[in-house]
Amino acid sequence: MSTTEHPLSTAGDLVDLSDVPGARVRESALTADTARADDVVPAGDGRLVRLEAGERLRIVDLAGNQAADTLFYAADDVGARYSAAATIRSEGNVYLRAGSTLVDQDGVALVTITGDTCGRHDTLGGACSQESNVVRYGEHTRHMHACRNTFLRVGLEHGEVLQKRDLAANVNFFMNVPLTPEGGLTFEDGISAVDAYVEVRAERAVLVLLSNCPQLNNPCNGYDPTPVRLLTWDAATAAAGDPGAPAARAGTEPEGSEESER
Amino acid sequence: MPVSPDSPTPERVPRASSPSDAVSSRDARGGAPTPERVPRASSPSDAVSSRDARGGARTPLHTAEVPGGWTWSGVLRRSTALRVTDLSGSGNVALTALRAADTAERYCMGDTLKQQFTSRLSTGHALFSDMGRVLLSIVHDDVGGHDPFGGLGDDRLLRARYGATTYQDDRNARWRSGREALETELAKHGLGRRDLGDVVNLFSVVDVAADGATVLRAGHSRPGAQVLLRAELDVLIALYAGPHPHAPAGAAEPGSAAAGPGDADDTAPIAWAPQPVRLDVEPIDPPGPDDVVRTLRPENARGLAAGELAVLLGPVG
Repeated sequence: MSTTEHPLSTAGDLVDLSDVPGARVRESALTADTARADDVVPAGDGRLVRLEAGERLRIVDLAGNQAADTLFYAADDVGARYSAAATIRSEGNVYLRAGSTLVDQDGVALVTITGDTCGRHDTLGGACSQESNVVRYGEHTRHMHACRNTFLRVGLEHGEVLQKRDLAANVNFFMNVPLTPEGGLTFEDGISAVDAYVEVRAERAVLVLLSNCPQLNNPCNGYDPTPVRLLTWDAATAAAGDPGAPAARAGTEPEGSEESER
Repeated sequence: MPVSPDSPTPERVPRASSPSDAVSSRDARGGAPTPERVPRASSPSDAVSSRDARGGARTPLHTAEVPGGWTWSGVLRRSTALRVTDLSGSGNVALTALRAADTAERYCMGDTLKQQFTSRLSTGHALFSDMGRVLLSIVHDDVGGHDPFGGLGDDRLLRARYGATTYQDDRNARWRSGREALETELAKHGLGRRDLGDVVNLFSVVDVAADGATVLRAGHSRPGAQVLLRAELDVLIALYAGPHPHAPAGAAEPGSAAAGPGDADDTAPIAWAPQPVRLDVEPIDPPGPDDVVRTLRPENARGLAAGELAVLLGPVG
């Protein structure tokens, strides 16, 4: 794998960044003019987006240094949901980056990261809540908007299919949470930038639950939460427009595509 | 604290007449090597006030051995503690915890890690719920760290690693994944698949390189190693004694090659050799002002205080 300076010079390839350990980027060839949906999510708002198999969703960090807290579910069975632990095990890496396949708790692919100009995303730090803000920063932060309120609100507005017990460990796109060899976990300034994006391909029909993080108490948003843009492409347009996108990791195929012995 | 009528009820097993009986019955089954025994007083009344240097052991209210590959669940009441002993020295225990009074409140990996700025859990650390309360505290740890993000093995992983298995063919020697085992255990308490959240893998640590690459640390535990978890609220615990999902393959059968997860297709099936653990449920004092968990970080003090408020407001812990 060659290395290159950020920003990218080579579209379409998976590229390891030399200056951020573990970071891997890839530019998607898809362009906004072919998207079937184009939506801006203000800071503190959320969305529930359904993607059919093969569809792509791009999250654009419009102003840079924003955190997009995201969960994935199988659209026809929300009991099958993104598992941070199973994904870390499957990928052999605690960071999500271009080419990573995000799997459910049984190791089955939900989405693959097909585009990523940031290169490294957290999946251990979880989402902010009023209650965790109190633990972290003190009682005076109890009455502040938080991601888990957004998750719950969006769930309530969509037939209550998703409830609190469905809020598994999430992905924090664009968030930089390095682990130290000694077992520490730190929150550092983002490695994202203006118009950095992450793009995923649905490996089966999925629901994407997104909270555009309103946190004001730490640098995950640069203390200034800003909008993100959501672009969605249908499967045929995506496959034709970006045929070189990485495939799902082998061994994560949905059930039925392997021999079932048990 | 009383538990509401519709809450899960802890198993109440009669106290063994003497600890030595428990040891000899296990040995008679030809099971695990005899663990290091914690000194115990001869009478229960003495034992409650007597402690040793290893995390304040008292005469257990209940003792159980969980064979490798099997599960245990029950409500650990506030002011009791669960002592888990790695009998063989190569054990792993995947443990999850939910608040008994409201199982929608449960152990939360993300909050636990970020609130304590750590990616492994040891003495002084708390297992936080998603509601800002401490469910369990680690008050003693012989191995110096436990893994909070390795998760559970699933059927697909274990099938690749150990080959196919059925009860018809293998009876109770068949393998069960941590996923299947803990889902089933929680279902006994009326809970579903959506209720199995994050787990901590006791006696295991996953090292993470600068580039994020993970590797399960070899030889992290030892025979007789113990961890003591203090319940800060009434907590439903479900645990599984089985291999860590990052384990390369487990013990190889004589004559077969060891295989990593990616090599499974090219290699003979590996022996399924999960390791047993012992559980002791013991009375323990609630954390005082100088408690090792309360004083580790201000976040932990706030999390304990939030639980103490919940107890005060009752009616259940």
